Amino acid sequence: MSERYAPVGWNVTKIVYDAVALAVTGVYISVFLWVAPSFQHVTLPLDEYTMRMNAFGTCAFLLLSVILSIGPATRLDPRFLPLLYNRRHFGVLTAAVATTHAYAALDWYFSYGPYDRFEMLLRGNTSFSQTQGFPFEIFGIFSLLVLFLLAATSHDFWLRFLTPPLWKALHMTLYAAYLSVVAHISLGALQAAQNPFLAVVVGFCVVGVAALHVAASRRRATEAALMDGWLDAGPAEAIGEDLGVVVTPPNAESIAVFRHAGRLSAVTNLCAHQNGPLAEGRVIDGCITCPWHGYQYRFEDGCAPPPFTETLATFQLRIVDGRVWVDPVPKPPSTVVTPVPVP
Amino acid sequence: MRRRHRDAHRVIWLVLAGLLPAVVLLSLALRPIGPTEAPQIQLAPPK
Ligand code: FES
Repeated sequence: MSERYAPVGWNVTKIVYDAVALAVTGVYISVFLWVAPSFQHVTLPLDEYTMRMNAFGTCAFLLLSVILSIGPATRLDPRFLPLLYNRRHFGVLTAAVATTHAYAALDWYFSYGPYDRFEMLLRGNTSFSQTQGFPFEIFGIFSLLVLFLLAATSHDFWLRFLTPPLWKALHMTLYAAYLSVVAHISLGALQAAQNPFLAVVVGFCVVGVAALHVAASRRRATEAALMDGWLDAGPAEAIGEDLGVVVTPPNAESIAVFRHAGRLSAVTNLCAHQNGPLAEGRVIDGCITCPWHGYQYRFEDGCAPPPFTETLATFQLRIVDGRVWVDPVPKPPSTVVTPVPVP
Repeated sequence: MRRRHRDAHRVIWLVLAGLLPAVVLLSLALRPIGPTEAPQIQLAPPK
């Protein structure tokens, strides 16, 4: 089996997204490096390398916290969906910022040792048994390697090559990287910090990110009631035109029920691209459009419009006394199921 | 999101919700008293 590489498909939204992310990062670093020092009244200002290390280090940590918050925030409130759109480029930007931080540290602390800088970094400090002076760099190195790996495999080519489950599992190592970054800061910068500001910011980010994830995972779709093995999807008029609702069968993947042109149809809620939640998407050009990266599918057979080849499982529906019922047994992908008119 | 993936997600974040603040708090608790880096002293008010 072989995979064909296709370059990143640029569009205006992606360009605007990246421009905003770059501009915000640029402003943060500029303010940190050139504006903030002028408000400091000290006779011993921090050297240029330490400033650079601090600016890029804090920026990478904040970016990582934002990236990790996007997923649960969109599940709690769809208004955050635009942030999800190009999250992978955000990740690549974070890897670049973190690398600059590491490079400044390498230049400042390890340039004059008896061995090579990289060797010094790895074997210069081996006080693993104490918190004070612990070689916290090791945690930073681990996180940086993970960020590199994820940035390098962020393209769709790797998603297809590794298959979505493996790619997802690989990209979940970002959580370990975040834990490792927090350990890196806690055993490094926080030990030396002279005021509580950094501790407050780190604490706020850490609690915020974790709380968002826990809250989002609690808000799961309730499992639908069954009648003759069919699932209750609620009253037909509760489904707005060109909108979808989710129905979750017991012990199975969720189903998205849509209303379009006054007729109802159902497909799996998992996008064929990367399992995006289709019921949260919009209808564009008469097709279900995934909210994550815009893959499209037809209502009646779950097929992507030509020339695309993705297909979704479809489901049979019926309306009894104004309520919608879904047969939870999926039809093979691309099976035609005629949409049911709402009476 | 796939069901299995979602469940793994939930367990991981429940663990992290305890672990992340614990790492920060523990490292602060074990911190030596007083700063370990040279203070940015200000010997005299700026003229
Ligand atoms: S998950 Fe990428 S388009 Fe649906």
